[in-house]
Amino acid sequence: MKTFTQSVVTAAITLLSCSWAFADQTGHVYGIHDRSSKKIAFTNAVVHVEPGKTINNATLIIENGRISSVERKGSIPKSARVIDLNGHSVYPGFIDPYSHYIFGKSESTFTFGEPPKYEGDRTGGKAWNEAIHAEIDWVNEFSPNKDEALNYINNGFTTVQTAKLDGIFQGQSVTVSLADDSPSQLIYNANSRHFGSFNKGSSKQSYPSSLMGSIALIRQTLSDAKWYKEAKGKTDHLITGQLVEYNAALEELNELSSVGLIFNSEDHLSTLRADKLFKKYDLDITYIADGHEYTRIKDIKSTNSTFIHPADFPAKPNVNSFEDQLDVSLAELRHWERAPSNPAVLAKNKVPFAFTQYGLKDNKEFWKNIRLAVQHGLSEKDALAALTTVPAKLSGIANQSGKLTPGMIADFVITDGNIFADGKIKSVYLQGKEHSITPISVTDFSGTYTLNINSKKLNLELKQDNQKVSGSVKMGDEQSDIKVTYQKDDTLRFTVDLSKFDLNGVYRFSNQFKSNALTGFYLTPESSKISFTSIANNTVTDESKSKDDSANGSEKPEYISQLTTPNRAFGFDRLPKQQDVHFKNATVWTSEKAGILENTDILISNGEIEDIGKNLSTPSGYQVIDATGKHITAGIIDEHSHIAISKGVNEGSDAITSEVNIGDVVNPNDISIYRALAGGTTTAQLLHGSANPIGGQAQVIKLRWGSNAEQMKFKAAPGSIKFALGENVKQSNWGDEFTIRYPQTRMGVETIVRDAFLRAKEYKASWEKYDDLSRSEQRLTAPPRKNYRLEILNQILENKRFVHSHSYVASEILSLMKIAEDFGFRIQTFTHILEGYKVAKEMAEHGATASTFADWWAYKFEVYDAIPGNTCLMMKNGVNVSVNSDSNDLIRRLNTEAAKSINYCNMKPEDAIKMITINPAIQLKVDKYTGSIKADKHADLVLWSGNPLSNYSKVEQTWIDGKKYFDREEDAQVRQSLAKEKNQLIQKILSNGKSSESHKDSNNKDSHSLALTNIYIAKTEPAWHCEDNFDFWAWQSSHNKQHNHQRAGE
Amino acid sequence: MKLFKMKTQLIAFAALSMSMFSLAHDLVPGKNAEHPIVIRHATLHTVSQGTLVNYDLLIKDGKIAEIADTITTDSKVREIDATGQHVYPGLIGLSSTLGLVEISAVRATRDQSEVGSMTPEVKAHIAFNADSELIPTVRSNGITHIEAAPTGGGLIGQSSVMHLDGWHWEDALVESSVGMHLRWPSTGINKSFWETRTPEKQREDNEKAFDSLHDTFEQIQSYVKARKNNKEQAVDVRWEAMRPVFEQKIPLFVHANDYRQIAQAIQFRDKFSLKIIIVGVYDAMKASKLIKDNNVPIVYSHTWGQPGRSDEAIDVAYNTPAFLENNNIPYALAIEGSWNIRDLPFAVGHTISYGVSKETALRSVTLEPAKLLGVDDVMGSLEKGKQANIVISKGDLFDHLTHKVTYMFIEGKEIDLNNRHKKLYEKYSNR
Repeated sequence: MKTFTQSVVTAAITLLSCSWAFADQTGHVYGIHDRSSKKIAFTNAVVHVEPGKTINNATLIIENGRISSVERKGSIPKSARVIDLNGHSVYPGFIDPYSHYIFGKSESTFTFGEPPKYEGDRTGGKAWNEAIHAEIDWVNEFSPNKDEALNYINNGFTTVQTAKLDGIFQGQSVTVSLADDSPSQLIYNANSRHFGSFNKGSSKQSYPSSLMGSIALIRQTLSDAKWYKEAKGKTDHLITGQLVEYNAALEELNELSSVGLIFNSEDHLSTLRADKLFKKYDLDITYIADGHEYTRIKDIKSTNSTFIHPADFPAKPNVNSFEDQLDVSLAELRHWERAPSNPAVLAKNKVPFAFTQYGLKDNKEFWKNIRLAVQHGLSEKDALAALTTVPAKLSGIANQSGKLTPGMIADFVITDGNIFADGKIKSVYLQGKEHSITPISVTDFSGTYTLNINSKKLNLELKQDNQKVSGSVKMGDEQSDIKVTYQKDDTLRFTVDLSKFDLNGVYRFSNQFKSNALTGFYLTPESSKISFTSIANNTVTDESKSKDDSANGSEKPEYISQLTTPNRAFGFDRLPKQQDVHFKNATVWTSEKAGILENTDILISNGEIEDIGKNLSTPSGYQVIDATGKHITAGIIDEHSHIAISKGVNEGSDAITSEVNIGDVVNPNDISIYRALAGGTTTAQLLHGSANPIGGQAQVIKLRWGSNAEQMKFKAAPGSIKFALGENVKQSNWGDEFTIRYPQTRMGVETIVRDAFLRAKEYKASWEKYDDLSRSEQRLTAPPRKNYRLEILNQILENKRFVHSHSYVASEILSLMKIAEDFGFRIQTFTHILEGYKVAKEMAEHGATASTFADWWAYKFEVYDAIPGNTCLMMKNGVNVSVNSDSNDLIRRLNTEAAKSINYCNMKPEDAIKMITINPAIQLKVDKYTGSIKADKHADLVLWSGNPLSNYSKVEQTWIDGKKYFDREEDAQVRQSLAKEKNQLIQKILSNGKSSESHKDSNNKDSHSLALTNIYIAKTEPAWHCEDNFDFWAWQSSHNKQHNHQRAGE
Repeated sequence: MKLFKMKTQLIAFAALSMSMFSLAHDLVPGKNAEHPIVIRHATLHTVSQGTLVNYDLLIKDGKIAEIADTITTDSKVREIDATGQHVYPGLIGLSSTLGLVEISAVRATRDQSEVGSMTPEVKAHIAFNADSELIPTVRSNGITHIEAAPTGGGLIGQSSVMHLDGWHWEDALVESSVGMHLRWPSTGINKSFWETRTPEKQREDNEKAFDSLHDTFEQIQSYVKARKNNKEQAVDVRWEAMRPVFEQKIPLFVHANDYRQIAQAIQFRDKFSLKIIIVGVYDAMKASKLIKDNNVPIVYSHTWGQPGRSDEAIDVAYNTPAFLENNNIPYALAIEGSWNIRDLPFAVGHTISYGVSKETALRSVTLEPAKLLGVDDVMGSLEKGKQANIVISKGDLFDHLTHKVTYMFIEGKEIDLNNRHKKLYEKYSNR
C-alpha cells in the first residue's frame, strides 16, 4: 500500500518534470526530451524590481527559469509566449527565512510526574546533551511537499529557509524553493544558517530546566567547540587525561562563525540576554521578534542584529462586559493597540528585519497583518524589503533571489494591484513555472452597455469584483439582475429575465469582449438568435481599485495608550532624574554608631549623601523636602529575593550548577520591583533557588524600575553564589520519583560539595600545568577544556565570589563551615539559618553572617525548631544578622518583619533597623556604598510617615542614587490616569466593532488571546520561591502541546 | 494590695521559669480559678461599649461578672493591677487549620484536607490536636479561639469553634459544626505562567465546574426534601451533612475572591435559599454593592494581599477594609492558615494603618467573627455575662513595637503564655 502511494507520487513528479523545463540533470531522461520554448514575456506590468525601484509599463522576460530582462516597454522576443499583465503588478517572490517547512516543530512527550533523566542517550558523534544537535544538516532530510508548500505559496512565498525547530542547537537549515520538482533542483542553499533557541524542545534530559540553564549550556558548548577545534588531533593527552572524544556537534558548531545563527529567544528580553551571550563569540545572529521590540527599542537597536518578525498581532482583548474585562490587563490593551506598529518602529530605528509566517495560526491572516503594519506607519519599501531582499540575505541567496533583475531566478508574484493596499495575489511563479491562484484576466467587462431589444432601449450595467462579473438590466426604475453562467478570459455568457420590461421571458446572451465592446448574440425566449454589439461607456469605476494606495502609509495612526518602560501599568514614561535635595528636620535612622538623630537634615547631591546635620542651610538649586514629623532610613536591602527573575529560579537538574547565573535572567519588567519600592526596598540580592547543594550565581540589583536588566545590576557588588543544604537539596519533598540523584542525605551533601571543590582545584592545577608547558609542547598537547562550573568554584576559593548558603539545621551549618575552613575560605552568609541560634558562637568564630526569616516556622520538618528569637540570639553572639523576604510580598514590608524581633526578643529599635539596612549591606559587601546614612554613600533613602518599624507607618518616598523611584502621592495620581487610559482603550476596542473573540467563537475557533501565537499572551512571571523547582521547558512544551491539540480539534 | 500585686507577678514569673525546666512537654491547660479575679485600672476595649479608660473588670465563674470604673470586692479576690495596660476580648481566628496540621511538608501530620471534591460529611474538630506545638505560639499573641476549618477544593467539610487551651479536642470544643465550607469554582481566566490551559479550555472548565456544583446542589436539595417527607429514604452521610445548610441552621462559608465568584455565590444562595458567608473576598471593593444590597456577611482574608491583577494599585488589598467600613459594610478579618495566624493582631494594626477605625478593626477579629460563628452571645466583647476570654497587653496589641501580652484568660482560666519558641530561646540563652 505504502509502496503504491509512493510510486504514484513519484510518477506524478516524473510526469511534471517531463512536461517542464527542468529535467533531472544527473539522472536519466525517460521518453522524449522536452525542448519546448521556455521563454515568457510579461507585458504592460508594474514591476517592483526591488524595494524602492518600480518600473511601470514594463516587459519582464524570463527564460529557463531565470529572469533575462526587465525593461520599460521592452521589446518582446518572437519566440516568447506573451502574457499581458495590464493592470497588474509583479513583485519578487517572497522569502520566509524562518520556517519549518517539511520538518515541523518539536513535539514534547513530557508529562508531569515523570522520573528525571540525568544522562543523555549518545549515538555516533552526538553531543552529551540531547538538546544539542548541531551536527544535523537538514539538507540531507529534504524532500518537497506540495500541500505544505501551498501554505506559503498562497501568500506569495517562493522560497523558505527551513529546519526542524527543536532544541537548543537545531542544526543547519536549508534554503529551498517551494516549487514542485526533484529536491536537487529546489535546494538554493545547502549551507544555510544554523537554527537555535533557548528551548530544549523534545529533549527529555533534565538539564537544562531553566532559561539560565540554557544560557549556561550554550556558553559552555560554544567554548567546547572552540576547545574541540584546538584539542582534536593533538597527540599528547597528558593534561586532559583522556583522548579527545569525537564530537560531531562541536565540530559543526565551528561553522557558526561563517554561516551565522537564527535564534528564537521567544521574547525580546531574552533576545537581549542572547545578544550578551553571543557577543563574545562574534557571531552573526538573527533574532525572532516577539512583537514587543517597540517597548525597548533602544536596547534592541544596540544588538545590531537583524530580526525576523512574525506577521502576527494580538486580536482584540475581550472587554465585552465588566466580567470579561476583569481578566484583561492594561498591558494587554496597550499591546493590542501598538503591536502593529512594531515593524514600523524597527524600520524607523533602522533595525533590519524580515517577515515570517512563523507563529501564525492562520496563514490567511498574513497579508491582513502586513497591511495593518503598513497602516501603522511601515513604508511599503521597508515592507517589501522585509519580504524579499532582507530574507534573501538571511537565507544566503541574495545573489539569486529577492529582486527581479536579470540573472535572478524567476520567482515572482503577480497581483492585481498594490499588494500592500488591496492587491490580490493572482499567480505565483516558482522557477519560471506558474502556480495560478486566480486566473490572470485583463478583460474588464465593467461598464454600461446599450441593448436594443424589440425597439426597447435597455441599459446593461456590468460590474466586476475580484474577477467575477455581476450586473443588471435597467430601464427607468425597473431592474433585473443577470445571472452569469460562464465567464472565462474574454468570454461572458449570462441569462436575464426581461419580463419586467414587457419582454416575455428569459433571454440568453453569449458574448465576447473585444476592443472595448461586447460582441455576440442573444437568444430570445423564442430561441431566435440575434446578433448585437455594444460599446462600453461610462465605465463604472471599480471601487476597490480606485483607493489611493499611497494613503495607507501616510495616514498616521493615533494611539491612546501610553508607552512606558516597562510597558505596563506603573511603568515610567520617563526615567527619574538625579536631584539635589535638602531633607529638613527629620528623625534620621542612620544605621551607624550615631543611631537615631532627631530634627536632622540630610543633603543629597550627585546621587550621594552630601551632608547630615542639624539646621543645615539649603545650597542654591536644592529642592527642599520638609520632613518634620517624618522619619528617614537608609534604603532597605533584601539579602534573599527571587523577584525580577525570568523563566526559572532553579536549575535543579544537577547537584552542582555553579555555571548558571541569575544575572543572565534578570527581568526588569517584573511589577514586584515597583511594589517593593513602595515598601522602601532599594537593593536586593536575587538568588538562585535551593534545589541543589551548589546552585547558581546570584545577582545584586538596585530596584531601578524603568531601566533595563543591565542597568539594574549593582555593578560594585562582588560576585556571590547560592549554596543550599538540607531537605530541598536532598529532594525530600519532591515526590517518589526523585530518589536517585546524589545526594539524598546530609552526609551526601557534605561529600558532594567537598568533591566539587577538589575538582575545582584539580582543574586549576591542570591549567597551571598547561601554561607551564613550552610553546612547542603546547603545540602537541591538547589543552584542558574550559569549564565554567569549576571556574566559578575557583572564584570562591580565591575569595572573589562569596557564598550565601540556604541552611536550616545546626548540623549542616557546622558541616559547611568546616568544608569552607578546610578549603581556606569562609561562608559569607547563611540564609534562612533558622537554627542559627543553636550554633551562633561557631558562626561568629567562623566569620559567617546570618540572614533569617523573622518568624517563619513549622512548614517542614527542618524548620520545626525555628524560633522568632533567632535574630536576637545570633546578634548577642556577635553574628551580623539581617532579615530577608524570600517573597515578593514580604519584600514590601521588611520594616515590620524587622520589628518582629522587637516584639519577640526585645531587640533595640536601632538594631532592628540595621537588620534591613547596613547588616544586609555588609552581607552583600556593598556597605561601602549603601546601607546607612553617611556622607558619600549612595543616596538610597526612604522617607517614612512615622517610625519606620511601626505597623502604622508608611513609605512616602523611596530614593535610589539620588533619584526618586517611588512617591506615594504621585502613585495616587498615576492610578487615576491609568484608569482613564484603560477606559479609553476599552472604548476604542468596543467602538471598533465586536471583540474578535466573539467573532472567533462564532467560527468555533480559538479565543482572541490565544488566537495567534502564544508569544503574544501577556504571561506574567510567577512569584518565584526558593523551592520552585520544575522544568520550565517541559512546562512550556506541555503548554504548546495543548495548543496543538486544540488546533487539531478545530 | 500592692503586696498582692507583687506576689502575683512573682508567681507568674516563677511559673514561667518552672516551665523552662519542663521536658519540652506540652503546657498544662489552665485550671478554674480559685477566686474571682479583678483586673484594675485598665483600658478596656469592650467592642460593644467602646473604650473604657481606667476601669475595672471582674471575672467570676469563668464569666465577666462586672465592668465598672471601680469594683469593690471582698478579700478573696485575685487582684491584677493593669494600670496603663490594655484589655481586649480574646481574638478569634477564622478559617484556620491550626491543630489540623503540624508540619505541612510531612504528610503524616496533615489532617486538614480529605480526599475528593465533595466531602461535606467531615468535621474539623475530630482531627483537632489540642497538643499541637503550634497552638501555644498562636495564643500567646492574643488569640483565644479559632474556627477550625478543613481546606481543599469543592465542598470541603464542617468547621467548629475551638478554644486554644484544652486536654483534647472535646475539651477544646466550644461549638461543633458551626458552618460548612465550600470553595467556589474559579470563574476567571488565569494568565499566569503556571496555567497550561488555553482561555477557552479554562472557560469551558469553569462552566463545567459551575454546572457540576449546581447539579450537586439540586441533588442535595431533593435529598433533603425526600428525607423530610419520606421516612424510608436511606441516609447518605454526605448529603445528610448538608441538611442543616439547606435548613438554614448553619451557614455555608463560601470561599470566593473574584467578583464573578461572589456574584454567582449570591445567585446560588437565592436559588437554594441558603445562608452564606463569603470568605476571602479579594474583590470586595468591586463587589461592594452586591455585598451590601444582598446583606452578605463577609470574612476578608487579604490584609497583606498582593494586587491580584497586574495593573491594580499597590495597596488595593490593603485599602479594602477601610473601604468596607466607609460603606457601612460589616466584615470579619482573617488570616487563613495555621502557624501564621499568630499575626492576626498585626493584621488588625495594618488595617488601622490603612484607614480603618480602631473600633471596627478590633471588632473584625472579635465580635464579628463571634457573630458569624453563632457564638456572639457568649464571646466577642467585654460584656457582663459573657465568657471571660480576655487578653491583657502592656501596650497596643496591634503594633509589634507595643504588643506585649501579659495575661490571657479563656473562660476565666489563666493561660500559660509560654511556648516552644520561648522555651528554645531560654534553652539557648543559657548556652
